[in-house]
Amino acid sequence: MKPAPLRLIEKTLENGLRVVLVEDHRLPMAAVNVGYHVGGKDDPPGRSGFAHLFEHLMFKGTESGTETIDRLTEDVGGYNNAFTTDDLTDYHEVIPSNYLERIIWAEADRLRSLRVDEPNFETEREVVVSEYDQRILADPYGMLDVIVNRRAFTVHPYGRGVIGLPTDLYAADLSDVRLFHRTYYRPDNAVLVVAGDFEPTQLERWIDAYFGPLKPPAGPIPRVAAREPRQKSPQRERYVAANAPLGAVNVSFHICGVNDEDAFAFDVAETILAMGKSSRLYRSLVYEQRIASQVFCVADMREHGGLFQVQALLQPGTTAERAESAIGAELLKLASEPVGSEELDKVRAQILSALLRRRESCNDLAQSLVRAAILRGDPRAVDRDPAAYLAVSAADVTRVCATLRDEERITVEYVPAGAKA
Amino acid sequence: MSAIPAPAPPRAVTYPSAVTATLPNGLSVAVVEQHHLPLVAAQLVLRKGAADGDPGVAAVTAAALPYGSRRSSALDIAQRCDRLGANLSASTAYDGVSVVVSSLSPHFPAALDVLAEIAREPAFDEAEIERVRARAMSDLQLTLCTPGSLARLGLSRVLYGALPYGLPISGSPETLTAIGRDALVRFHALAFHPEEALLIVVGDITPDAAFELAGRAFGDWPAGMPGAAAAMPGDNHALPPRTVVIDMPNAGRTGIAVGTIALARSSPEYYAGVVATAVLSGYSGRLNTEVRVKRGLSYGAGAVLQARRLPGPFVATTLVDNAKALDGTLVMLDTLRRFAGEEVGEDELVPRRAVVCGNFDRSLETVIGTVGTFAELGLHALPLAEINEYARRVNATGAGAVKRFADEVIAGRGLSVVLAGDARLFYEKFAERFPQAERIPAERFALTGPELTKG
Repeated sequence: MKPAPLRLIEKTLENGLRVVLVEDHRLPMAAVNVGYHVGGKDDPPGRSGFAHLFEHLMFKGTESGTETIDRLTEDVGGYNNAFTTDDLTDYHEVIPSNYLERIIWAEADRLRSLRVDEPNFETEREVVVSEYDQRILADPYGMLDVIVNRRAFTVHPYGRGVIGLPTDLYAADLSDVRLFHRTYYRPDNAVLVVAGDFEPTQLERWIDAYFGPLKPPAGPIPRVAAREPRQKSPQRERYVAANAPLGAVNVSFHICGVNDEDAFAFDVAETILAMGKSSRLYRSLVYEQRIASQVFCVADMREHGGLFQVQALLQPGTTAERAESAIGAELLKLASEPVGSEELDKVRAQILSALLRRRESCNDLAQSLVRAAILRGDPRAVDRDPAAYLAVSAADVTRVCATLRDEERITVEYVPAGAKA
Repeated sequence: MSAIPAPAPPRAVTYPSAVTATLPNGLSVAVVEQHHLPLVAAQLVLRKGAADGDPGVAAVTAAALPYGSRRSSALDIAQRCDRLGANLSASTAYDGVSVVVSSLSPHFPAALDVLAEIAREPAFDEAEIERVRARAMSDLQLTLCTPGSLARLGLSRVLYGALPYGLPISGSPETLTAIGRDALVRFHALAFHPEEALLIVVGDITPDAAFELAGRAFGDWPAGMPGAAAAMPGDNHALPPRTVVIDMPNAGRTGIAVGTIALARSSPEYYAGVVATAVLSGYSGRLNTEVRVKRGLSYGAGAVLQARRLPGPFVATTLVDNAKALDGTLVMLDTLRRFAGEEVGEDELVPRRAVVCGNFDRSLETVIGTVGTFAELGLHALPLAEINEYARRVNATGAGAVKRFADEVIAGRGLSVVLAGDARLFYEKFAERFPQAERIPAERFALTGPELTKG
């Protein structure tokens, strides 16, 4: 089966702002997303974590000084949030549709004029540092991802991670904030997506009225030029975690970026290995051998390269070596034996279902469109995805898995402090 | 830049409506037709739950359902679901058990067959039960190490004692260990009957097609012997309020739970309770405003009103530094008492009603959310048409009704307080202020049984 194409309205304002609209009148609500093509990899030198800190500052008020986004959303029955990835920053609001014009106004307002002063800069920096404490230090497995990225990317800024280091956050000041806003928060570096209950001509009028007058600064937007050189030998790190109840292991390989034509085949491989209780890694490590209590696999593909990651939470009494060899056996099998047609049909059904479920809520759909517009240059990539996944053959999966080579591997062994060496 | 635009008038909404039918064996079927995307979800609701069995039995029974039927092994079931791109799960509440499946619409007939097979003919294979029990045990251990969760479990025990709503749905480590195959078979026989069940189907399917599929999957499900409902005294407000500190040495934070027994889902005052709870809850709600925004005592504070067949609890919670446990408790209690002391102004009620209606609307964005919203009504044997009444009833709830709820429930019945945290860091000061406080070491806290302590 083929899902019906999305009815997208696309336009680009004269100032370079890309606009994507998709109507859905089932419920009286709308989701607004503004995505900026700036993320953790664009943190200034010595300022790791800055893009994420900046995301928090975008909630601190503007020169028009009116109510904050929090009040404009929650008090009318909606909500808002934002997130920063390596490659992009997304701000979103879901509100009853009769409040849509306000939110378009408010998003234009904070793109135009951010007002951050010393006291709220410092308060928010503390909030971000406590987020670091909570996510990296208090989470028993918080350091795992940090170590994987640090070992995998020695040249590219992906190695610094989005959350960054508290020392770098403390080194930042208000001049960094102003410069960052001026450099990256410009209409020609943004995508506005609205999904939900609106009348298109009216909405386009609001967008023209509020975003139209914003002028992009002269000069190009700086882009990260660094590229990670090919890894020549396997990397390995053993980390003793003070508060992890059980061990864990992460086995990762360098792979292509999100725009490579092999991206779809890696996603299919990920699904074969770890989606659902009949997936290969779940069956082998969790169900049959009982080596792991949980196993994850993600083809983590970013703008400038990616990592094919397999991660297992170990059962008590299991060694990391045993889990690594079980993971290795499954990867080898996928790289050497073609996937049968029945299994391929199964993962195609799983992928198609997952893609459709992501279209159900307005905000999920809007976020898919933001990612496609920013990372893949075209929101309509969302429409082409179902066919692109169906076109992945058994030979494609074998071929891409054969590129998961030992010399491009990063292994992180995560050991609870109480365990014997 | 121009001034902030005014809102447009709200758009009138028609919520989805259900078409219903009853199969000859008594199974009620409700169908909500929505063709937005080629997806369908189905939920089978059984009106016997954790409150109708020994602690943990309903939860282990439900969790074991997907792990094999008399016809198919656990792996076969997993493979069939994955091949259909279907998500299958079972869950347990105090008043009922649910089995849910969702899939692409062309695969829905086969997905519904899997649901029917595991619900009607579970294998309850010993080795699979062992896996389910081990998973439940490690989840429970994690819960017991988490201050906020332990405080909430403690409050249920204080409010309901050894009555079913007082005992954890998951059971205790001791009761879990003792649950064998026989207990699962007995609970399944008690709960899984067509006459007491409701099947809700939502999505890309016509009512006629859904009724036909339901008849094929469930038509020959034999009617059973309906069991008696859980024993629960009519007046279960009898237990006096208590203040309890569960001592968890080395806990990173202290969980605080404050509450009382409130009202049943079917009570005419239920919507007043929902709006009152919304005044206290959410980022801009009163509890968070006092605890986080004004005083920075916690990352968040809020309250819930549990919708149950018999009067469920009203519970306000927060999580604070151990050293701030007394301050946190005092601010929570003071905020609740002041709420009950005076009428809430319309300027405050308008946004809080909007929050309730907004959350409700968003629950209807997905087929899984919609099926769950209808299931909640069905579980409590309420008319499914109430879905179209929800916003109207919320918006018709005025300051007077909110005040009545606050007076009768929050102020009138006495609030119990349970803390779970590292008591060494706060108990002395706390006991000066609350001399009636009882201190219980976490390892002696009893999750079941007539007393709060064991050993």
